[in-house]
Amino acid sequence: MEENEIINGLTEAVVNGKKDQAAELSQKSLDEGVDPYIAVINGLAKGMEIMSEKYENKQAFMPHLLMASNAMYAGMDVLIPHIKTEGSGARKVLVIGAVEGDVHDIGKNLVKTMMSAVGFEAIDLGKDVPVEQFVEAAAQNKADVMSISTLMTSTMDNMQRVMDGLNSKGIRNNMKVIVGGAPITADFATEIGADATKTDAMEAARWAKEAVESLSPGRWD
Amino acid sequence: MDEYTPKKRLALALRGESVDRMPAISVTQTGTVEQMEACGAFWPEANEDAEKMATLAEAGHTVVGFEAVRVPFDITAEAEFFGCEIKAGTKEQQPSVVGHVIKSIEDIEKLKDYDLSEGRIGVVCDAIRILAGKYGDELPIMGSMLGPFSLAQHMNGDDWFMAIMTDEKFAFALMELTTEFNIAYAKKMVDNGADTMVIIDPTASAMLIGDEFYQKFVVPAHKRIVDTMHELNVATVLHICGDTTPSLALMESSDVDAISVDQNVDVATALSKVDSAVIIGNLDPVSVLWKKTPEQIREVSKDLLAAGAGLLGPGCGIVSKTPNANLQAMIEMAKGHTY
Repeated sequence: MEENEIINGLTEAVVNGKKDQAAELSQKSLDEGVDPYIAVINGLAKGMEIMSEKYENKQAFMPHLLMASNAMYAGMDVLIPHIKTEGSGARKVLVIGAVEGDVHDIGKNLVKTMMSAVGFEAIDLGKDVPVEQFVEAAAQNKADVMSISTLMTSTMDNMQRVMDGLNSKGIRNNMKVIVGGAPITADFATEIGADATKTDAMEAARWAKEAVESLSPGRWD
Repeated sequence: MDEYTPKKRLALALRGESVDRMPAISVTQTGTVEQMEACGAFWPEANEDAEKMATLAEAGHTVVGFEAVRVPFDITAEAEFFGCEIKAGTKEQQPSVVGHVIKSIEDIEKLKDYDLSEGRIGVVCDAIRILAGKYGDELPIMGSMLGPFSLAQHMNGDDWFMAIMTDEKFAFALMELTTEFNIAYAKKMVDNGADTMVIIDPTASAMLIGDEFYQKFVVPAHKRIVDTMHELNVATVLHICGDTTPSLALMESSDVDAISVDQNVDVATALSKVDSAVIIGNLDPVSVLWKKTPEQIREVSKDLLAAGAGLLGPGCGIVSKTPNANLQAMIEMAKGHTY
């Protein structure tokens, strides 16, 4: 199989939500000597991006998106271990979770998927994540981006507490922070000192990819 | 002379019939901390004890001034009833569903026998009986329940979104279980004195699943519930979150009397999308009702009334920390509005 054929096949497997096909083609790309980074970005991630655009345009919905996401991860599970992690190929780190008190994670998972698609290594803390755990995970993993979500108005205060925690540990400016979820407005994001909020997962990922460029490389040293 | 009781006024308004003025009610949850402090019935106990639930519901009328009483305050009793694991609520926060109980069609079979007097389903019905005994002649007694699609999602987890695409047989079987349950539960609430039924089906947002899946799985289920309620002369309200503008006609096709829209919907546009359904909404529960001043709330309310809202209300559940004064500003604007 030609490299192009494999790459296009990976994109198609994600768009069509074919998990097994994505895993098989990923293995094939390794066997054929395709650069795994290229296979992820130009193959799998591109498929996810296509689906995300379809979702924005109301041509695809949650069922299609979740199928695509499963396919992307099935392929990434095969490819990621083979991507070199040093130097220019190093992946930026995302620490992501739904804030303490909130157990809703569909939106959070979509953000994680799109962030992975644009090249982030996602440290997923899950849902109902204690405030301290966000702070600790950021320090431990030398986070580039932190994403905090909630669907419930009653837990919005906990986002402020995460920001306070980052500040008191002196690491707030080592990363970009994005907050999201149905009740979150741009005013609220500004009020608690986050860098951004976006209305959908793809926009969040695009923002994050660009935002990390302004972070200084040695800031965690 | 006031010829309309609040009960009669709401019954007429929900059906789009002429009435002296707008009723002041909330179709979404009404419990707040200020009310809890005023009446002595607090979450989480008021979610589990019928007397306390009725007391806090009553505070919506006696303390705040809503022209109805409404239970319950959360949307997890249904999933809990079927055995889903629940993360307990607090004084300020409703409980949440964290565990799921159905993976296969065999699991559905095992859950078909149930007793509606059990669990918080029974508690809600008892609270309705208490409220109806006290206020049934005068005030609307509103029952609310999680709708069948969202209940299916609670029971199956996020796999549910894929099941509707990849496993129709399973998806229809689970919808049958939840719809039958919703019908039986709604009838029981009515038996106990409920006269208005609110179906809250957030996950069924066509924004999430698209019109095709909505039409296939959600409309027939809602229609069966609505038809059953109409046979009992009970008005029905459907609340779905998100920007439901493109799907309003589809939502109305279940014959529901009124549709409660969230703050992302433009009320005037919504009205152009429906045939006869009353549009309810849609003050932003966070950035307006909770965070703004009564004066600002009156301004926003004025715009919504001008846009043609059939009933003024919050776009989603009232935030527990919302001040009474803010709710009263909304109530005052509703009461002052003639159609």
